[in-house]
Amino acid sequence: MVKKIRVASDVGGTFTDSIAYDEVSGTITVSKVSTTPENRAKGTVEGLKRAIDQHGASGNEVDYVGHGMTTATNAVIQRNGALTAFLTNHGFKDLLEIGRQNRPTLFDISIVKPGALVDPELCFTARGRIDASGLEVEPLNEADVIQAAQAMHRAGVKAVGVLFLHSYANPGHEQRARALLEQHLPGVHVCASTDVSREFREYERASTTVLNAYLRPVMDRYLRSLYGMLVDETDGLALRNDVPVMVMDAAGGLMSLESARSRPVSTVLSGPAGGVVASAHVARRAGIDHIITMDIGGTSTDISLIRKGRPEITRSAVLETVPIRIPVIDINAIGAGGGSIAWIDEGGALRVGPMSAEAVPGPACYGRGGERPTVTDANLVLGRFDGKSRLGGSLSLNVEAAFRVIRDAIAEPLDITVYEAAAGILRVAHSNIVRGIRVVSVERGYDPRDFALVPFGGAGPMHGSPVARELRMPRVMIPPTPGILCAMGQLISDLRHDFVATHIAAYADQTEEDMSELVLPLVQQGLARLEREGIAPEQRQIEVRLEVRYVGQSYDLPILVDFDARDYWKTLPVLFHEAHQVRFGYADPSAPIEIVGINVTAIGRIDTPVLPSLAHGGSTPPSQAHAGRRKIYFEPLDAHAKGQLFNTPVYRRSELMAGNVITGPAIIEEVSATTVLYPGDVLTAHESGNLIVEVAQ
Amino acid sequence: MKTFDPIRLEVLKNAFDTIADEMALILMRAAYSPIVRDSMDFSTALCDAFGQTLAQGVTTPMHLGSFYDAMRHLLSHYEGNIFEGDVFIGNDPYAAAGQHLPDIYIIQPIFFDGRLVAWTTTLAHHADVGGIVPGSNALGATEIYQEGIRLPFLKLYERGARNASIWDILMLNVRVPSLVAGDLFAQMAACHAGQRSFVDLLERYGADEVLSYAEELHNYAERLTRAEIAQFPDGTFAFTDYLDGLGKNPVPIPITLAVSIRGDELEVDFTGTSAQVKGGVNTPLPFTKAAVFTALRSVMKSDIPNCRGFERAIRVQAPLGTVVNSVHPAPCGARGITGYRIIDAMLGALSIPLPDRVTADGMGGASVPAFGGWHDGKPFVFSETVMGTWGGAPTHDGQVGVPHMGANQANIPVEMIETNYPLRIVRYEIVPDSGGAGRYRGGNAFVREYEFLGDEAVLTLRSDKHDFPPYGLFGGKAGSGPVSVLRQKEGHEVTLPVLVTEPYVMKKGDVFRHRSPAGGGYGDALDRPEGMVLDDVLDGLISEAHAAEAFGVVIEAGHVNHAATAVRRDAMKCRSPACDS
Repeated sequence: MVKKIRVASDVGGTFTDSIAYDEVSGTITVSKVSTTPENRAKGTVEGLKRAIDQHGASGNEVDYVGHGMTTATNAVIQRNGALTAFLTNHGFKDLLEIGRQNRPTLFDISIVKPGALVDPELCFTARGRIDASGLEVEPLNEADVIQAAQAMHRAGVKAVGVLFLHSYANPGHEQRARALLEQHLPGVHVCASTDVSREFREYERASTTVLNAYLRPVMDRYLRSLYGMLVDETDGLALRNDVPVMVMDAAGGLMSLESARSRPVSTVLSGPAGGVVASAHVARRAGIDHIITMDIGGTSTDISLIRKGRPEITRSAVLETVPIRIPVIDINAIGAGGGSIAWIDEGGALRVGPMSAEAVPGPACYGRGGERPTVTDANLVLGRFDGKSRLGGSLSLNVEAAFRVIRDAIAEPLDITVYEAAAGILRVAHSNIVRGIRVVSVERGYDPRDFALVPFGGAGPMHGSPVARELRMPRVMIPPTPGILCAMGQLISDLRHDFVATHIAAYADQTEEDMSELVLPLVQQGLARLEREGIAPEQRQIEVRLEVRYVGQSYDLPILVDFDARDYWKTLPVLFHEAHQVRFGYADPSAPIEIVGINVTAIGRIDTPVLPSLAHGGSTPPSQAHAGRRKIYFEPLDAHAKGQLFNTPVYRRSELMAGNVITGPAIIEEVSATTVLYPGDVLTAHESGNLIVEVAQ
Repeated sequence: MKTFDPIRLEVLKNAFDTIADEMALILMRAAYSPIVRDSMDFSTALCDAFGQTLAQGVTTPMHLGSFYDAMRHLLSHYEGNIFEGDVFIGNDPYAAAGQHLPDIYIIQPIFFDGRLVAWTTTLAHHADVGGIVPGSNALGATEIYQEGIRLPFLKLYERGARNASIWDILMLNVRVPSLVAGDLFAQMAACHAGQRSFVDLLERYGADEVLSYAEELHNYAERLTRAEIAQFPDGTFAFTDYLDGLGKNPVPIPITLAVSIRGDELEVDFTGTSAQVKGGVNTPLPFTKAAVFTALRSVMKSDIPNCRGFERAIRVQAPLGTVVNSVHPAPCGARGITGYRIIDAMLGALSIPLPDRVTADGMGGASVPAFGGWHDGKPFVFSETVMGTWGGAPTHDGQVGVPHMGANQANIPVEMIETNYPLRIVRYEIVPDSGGAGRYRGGNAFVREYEFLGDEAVLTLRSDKHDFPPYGLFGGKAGSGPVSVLRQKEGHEVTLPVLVTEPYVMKKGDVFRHRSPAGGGYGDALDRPEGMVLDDVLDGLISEAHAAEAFGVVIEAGHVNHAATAVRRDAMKCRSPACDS
């Protein structure tokens, strides 16, 4: 039988997740292998092979490869990018060192701001100035640039970032300096700030530029190696060389290998983006537009808010205190995960985190020497998942160890039962996550009750129901393959390129023609880029956002305008006042507004596969879905009652049919995750493959 | 009361903190003025029915714990006269237990089933409240009447209806009514959101339950605080730091304090501190306390909730009429500088019992240059808080580009300044050799130069530590003091005093250069490993000459001359008093 297989892989710090989808048979296979840090491409190919094998297929039957990775993120965390130099205006040698002068923590003197990516001795300056309107105040001193190039050569630098003040208004000096540097430093990657960002704020732009330069040699090497192994017919995947290989970016869009090589900074923070994009996609299939995603990992939980099926995009992200001005999905990470450690503080309160058992030693139940109770240990003691099941494919779990550490560290000191202690650990962990979700929603002006909660990550579906209940969210939606959802994002996403320009002017001083004259070149750039990538005209889409604020305000809101329509300019103020009302609770239609920036997104739709649907069944799950019963402890819904053990039915997710209804307490197990239904929760299997839970309040 | 459930306590503490954080986010997002939005100069809190802080969103450390005094003041005036829908406003240091006039409180009671159960409170630094200079923080003010409009606690809204008279009077007395109005609305939006979330919590857990845990939270914070203090060595530890003084002929203003630790109690006594002065650097007692709390929090290891219970184990004694407990009509518009100095003096005193938990002295808080004038027929005012140099620490060198413990404010991008004001930033760099020598070196100073491009402006400056430069600790040397020079186009140079009380005129092409103080060193410079000194030379942080002179390390052509270094260090040791032993 003919197969049409798309594959994707997501390389995380510990595991590499892979997914293979055969569109013809409508079947999805998954695999989880250990990440191979010495060359991550190895684990990627290994994982893909395993997923493809399960279809009885081989690599040359693959039509599409999606790839997400933490290579760039890790290079920053471990500070093992290329030896990089920085060139800027005379008088600003320490721009990267001084930064924006924020302190990482308010009160702790022992926490030190990490050093910049460029050593002070590799920061150079050149005379020459451009003013804010783009006029040259002092010509570029080329001798300074050449002298800097010679010093860089002596130091053996592999990459250079260049930023001159106000280059967004006039990139002339920067481009000239880049040309001179390239001429004098053959083989060195030179990156001018306007190559990566045309937004004002010199430190953020410099930081983004330097990061891009810092990552280029690393990423270049990795992507070459990856592609080589993918097409290798003997030891690799034997991929046909006409098959597109796409890389996930931080905004949840895809980019070609070529783009990723020249703009590696765009792949930073792309790890969690795939899961958010996939959540939005599968929720739409279930007819749910407003969701909050909750990706629970070992050390942290990533939270993101999606309205009208669209993830929120922000352009101010921070990685390890390095600010990055690129479009990224607005994801809020909080320090609460399966490995978060439970402890009793000196005031007698039960705390969970912020310390984590990390991967090593890990939770006590991993049996790798962890001696402190974690959230995972609590789940295991309560019977939420099976001690005999294997987390990530390689571990059998030690229930006794989990029981012992919770008893010794929590239950006995507080004089409560081990079950109560374990349930207490979960309640505190949930309250940490609840706090994160409230912050994300309230900051954006939304009430979480208007959203469905979408938990994913291996541990997410265990915690969805209680977190939703605490937030009074009525519904939880468990996506398909929640444990490897990030990889699925790479299967179903679109190509995406952003073009951003700073332009500050009062609304009243401009006409629609003025604005269109500024927007149009960006639109044309976007379309040209998509054309170069072979996207057919009917698959191209352009989104134009104007960044607007009240005159005198120091922040702005992006307003999506219908650029093709006449009178978009006239409707802009109305849209802005509405958005302001939603976000901040008030609007002042009489106050003057101004434009501060233009943001054009070029989207190329690659023909997204249709995910499989569940066959319809009755309201009762078929008998083959039953997998016995387990004793599981649940804390009470009523804040004042006591918890109890329930003889809880266990179901196999793979056997559920659309329309099946399950009332909690119940457990639904699948390869990549375990879903916990609390007493009174009602779950319905939806034909989209999602499980939809009405949460008992 | 029943015994408390440690799990419920943690869950509710989290919920209270969430409410304070939500309020802070909403206030920041909705605010108009950059001082709130970018400098985060505001705070939000949830207080219990007695006005005791339950949770505070700490955005500016020096607001820590500052709501309780204001709430007590409000309650003593309005008890029995508080209704649903009321919104209170106030700012006066003497008639509303305020901070200084630009800091306006907006406070709203929360009712549940007809009962007053809690308060949401906010405090924001407004762009202007009138007075003799734009921004309302004149160093040269001699009494508070010159500093702007004074508000005792008043009902801006009564039972939901706005008092138009108060609003109109306020708007007429400020230079930028739209900014002030916008920020007041942001404060009210924050109060309102906090109220909604708190009522939600009461509905979910029951009012009696939540309120009993509110009380337990204070006890819990007090227990944590006392447990910390109990670990500190007992004794009385005194320290004096100084403000250089005001204007061209400064008279030093001593901040003298003694920290007494006895068991799990701690008292700070400011006896000996300067009498209040005729200049805007006096601090009302609530602000002094906030500075004391900030310093103490920085030496405590526990993650103590920002609630009233934290303050119960701490007593602050300050004689009335001093610069740290000023009385009417002392001006206090620029009292921030004194707050920084209180923290510096506190950390100096705490360095005696807790040498491993403090750093040597840093630059002493933000330098605040302000430029005002006319350009293109429109008035402009530009001021910024530039800061960021710390003293050496027990385990690392003084940081650069990091603000004082008392604040956490970002600098303003050069590209933004040059877009909006007739100024060009000519230079913003670190100054080699300026940090105090030590086992761990003080952070170097930075220099920032402003060229004026308009026709005429006046310039003022708030800075310090020229006559009393940042102190070193345990043998570390002091950092260098500040230098502020106005270079006129004709080539004439004028040196400015640290606290400018009479503005200087700037003309087109004039350049103002401010070099900050640098951090003090920690430990003896002769104990600094040669390799670290070499790294500093290679990184351009110190010169070869300075390496030899201050650290005794002889560096030649990028390498340490070990023999010459040993000889030099020996010779230097024998000149120091430590050589006697």
